[in-house]
Amino acid sequence: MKTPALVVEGLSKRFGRRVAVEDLTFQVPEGSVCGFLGRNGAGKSTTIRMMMNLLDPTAGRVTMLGLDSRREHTALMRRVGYVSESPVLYEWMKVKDLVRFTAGFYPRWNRRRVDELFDRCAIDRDQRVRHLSRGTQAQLALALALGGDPELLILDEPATGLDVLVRRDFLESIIQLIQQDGRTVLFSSHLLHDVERVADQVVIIDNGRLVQSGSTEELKLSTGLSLEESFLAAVGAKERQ
Amino acid sequence: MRLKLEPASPIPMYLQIVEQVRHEIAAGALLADDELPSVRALAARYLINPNTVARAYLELERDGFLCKRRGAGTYVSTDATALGAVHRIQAVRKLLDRALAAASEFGLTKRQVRQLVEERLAVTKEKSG
Repeated sequence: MKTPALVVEGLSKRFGRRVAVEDLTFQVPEGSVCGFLGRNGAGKSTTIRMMMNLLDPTAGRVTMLGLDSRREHTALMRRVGYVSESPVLYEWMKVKDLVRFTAGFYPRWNRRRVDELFDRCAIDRDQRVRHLSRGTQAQLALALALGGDPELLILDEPATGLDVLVRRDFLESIIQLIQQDGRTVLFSSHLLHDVERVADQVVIIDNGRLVQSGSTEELKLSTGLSLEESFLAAVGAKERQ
Repeated sequence: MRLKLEPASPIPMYLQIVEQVRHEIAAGALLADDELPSVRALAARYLINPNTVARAYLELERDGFLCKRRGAGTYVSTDATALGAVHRIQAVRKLLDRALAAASEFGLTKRQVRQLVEERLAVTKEKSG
């Protein structure tokens, strides 16, 4: 058994009296693509923000690539790629300047892959970022996250609001990345459709709590249900309680 | 090789691949010594996780349908044709079982089922002959 790329242990977050994430525990094995599922407001983004040290947990901890997400945050940032729900890019910069700026933060920079992605998405390097469409900005953010050759890539609702063709490119990029040995991807979504195609692992949360985690194929084999049916069953069961 | 994969199905994707490759071999669309696309190529073509393809290939190797040769390439194994013949019978048996289950559920008699089979055989013969 390979060591897990991501370990979440007893992670909790309270905002005042509201519990956003409660005692969340799961692992993601190295070399897998993990779909992080839940309805809107289930606590996916809060969990991811705690992984990225953008938010302090009330309790629990996250270990990525064997390193503690808070104490060893700086070392991790060179090895973990992250695209947030609404990526904040330096809008006044030209694409090519933003690339040079971003590359400076990483010990290794995969220029060829970034160029490939730019060509495929027809991103004009001389454009200013603010003149790019929303879809193109999302692709740019993904290309930049992939540029650092991350060992672990974390994407928060990456495909939301993108059209069908762009989603295809996006899935292709994920598959390309995973084909390099040992790379791991976690992406959150409230849409099962994207997840089912590429995710071999799945983590489902609802109301901030873990509902299900493990191999997509084993889940299907043991329940005889499609991912959607499992998801609805899990979420529905909680509501009836 | 053309696969028809349904990610939304309750059947795991790797099993869908296994089933369809076996079917291609049984139907003679894949012959002994034919080379299969690499794990990478197949994953890229169908936009699926390479781990899923690798798992399917491994299962097919274990069952003797495929074999690895000269390092990386995956080929239809020499005895796959024999396995294909077995699979042909198994595949049809499975379908028959399902039809028979439906028949018993609807309360059809054995006689009616036999008649139905004869009738369908005659119809298929006419079509193909």
